[in-house]
Amino acid sequence: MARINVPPTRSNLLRMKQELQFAREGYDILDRKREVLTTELMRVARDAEALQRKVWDLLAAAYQALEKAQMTMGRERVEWAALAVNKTIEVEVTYHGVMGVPIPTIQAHGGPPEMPYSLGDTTTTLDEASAAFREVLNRVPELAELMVSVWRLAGELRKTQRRVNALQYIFIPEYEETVSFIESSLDEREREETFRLKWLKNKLEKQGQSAEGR
Amino acid sequence: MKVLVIGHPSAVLGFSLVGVHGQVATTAEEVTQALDEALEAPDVGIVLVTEDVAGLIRPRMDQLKLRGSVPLVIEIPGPEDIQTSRPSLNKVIQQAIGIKI
Repeated sequence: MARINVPPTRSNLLRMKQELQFAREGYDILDRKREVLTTELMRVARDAEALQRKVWDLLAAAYQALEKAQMTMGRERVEWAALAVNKTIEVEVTYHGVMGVPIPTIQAHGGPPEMPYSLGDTTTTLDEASAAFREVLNRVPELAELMVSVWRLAGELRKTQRRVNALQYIFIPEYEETVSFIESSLDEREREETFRLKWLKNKLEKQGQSAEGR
Repeated sequence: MKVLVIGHPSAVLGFSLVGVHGQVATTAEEVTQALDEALEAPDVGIVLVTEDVAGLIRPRMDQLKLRGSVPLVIEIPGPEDIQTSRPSLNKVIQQAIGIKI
């Protein structure tokens, strides 16, 4: 494991210890963030998956109905009928934050008119297709909200996961290693110092004795 | 704000029956251009892109789905994709982001 390249001094030891502490706190916070994101993501993903399946089924039916309408009326007449539809659903997007991730909330109001085109020159297949697409459209805002939430949460989770891993497996061990290296070299220096003092003391004492002996 | 459809002609026609505007696109250039316009437009809240053309610009689509701002971009199956078996949402996310839910 690599250690940070700093000279082993007492002030560096203090600094490294502070930074290690800081990294550990950061790890705790990020770890908690990861937990919250995971729970939230699991909840939203389950809802999204269910709604998605439902909307896809409705959409499959809608495509079939549309095909029938095109077969009985011709594509152009269907397009003309569509021209008569002048109102549709309106959506309002607002955001709320989950752990600093903006999650959209969509409010939908209004909708297409029940019978926008004249009944005279259209067929019931067109009505069916139109009704089927209305069903799909009504669920689009909720689906968009859930899907975007899932993607955003998953993206943020990946980022957090990376940071947690970097702290856990690289930064914290690096600081720990550096701290223990500085501590041991300071200890080593202290031992040398004590030994030197002892040696000096011995020498001085000997000198003193020989001076007295003279 | 409004909903907008980009992609397969049938999807665009179908949604036009309920008043949703659409832009037919079948090639990568067309869908890129339509997306650019949709992202610029001030009154578009949700963009639906059919999967057949979304697949042509996969990296951009994944990036757009991760993005937080309006309009929200999501994919819907086109008439041809809808019959085929679809990967679950978990799989899609695992592929795009590398996170297993």
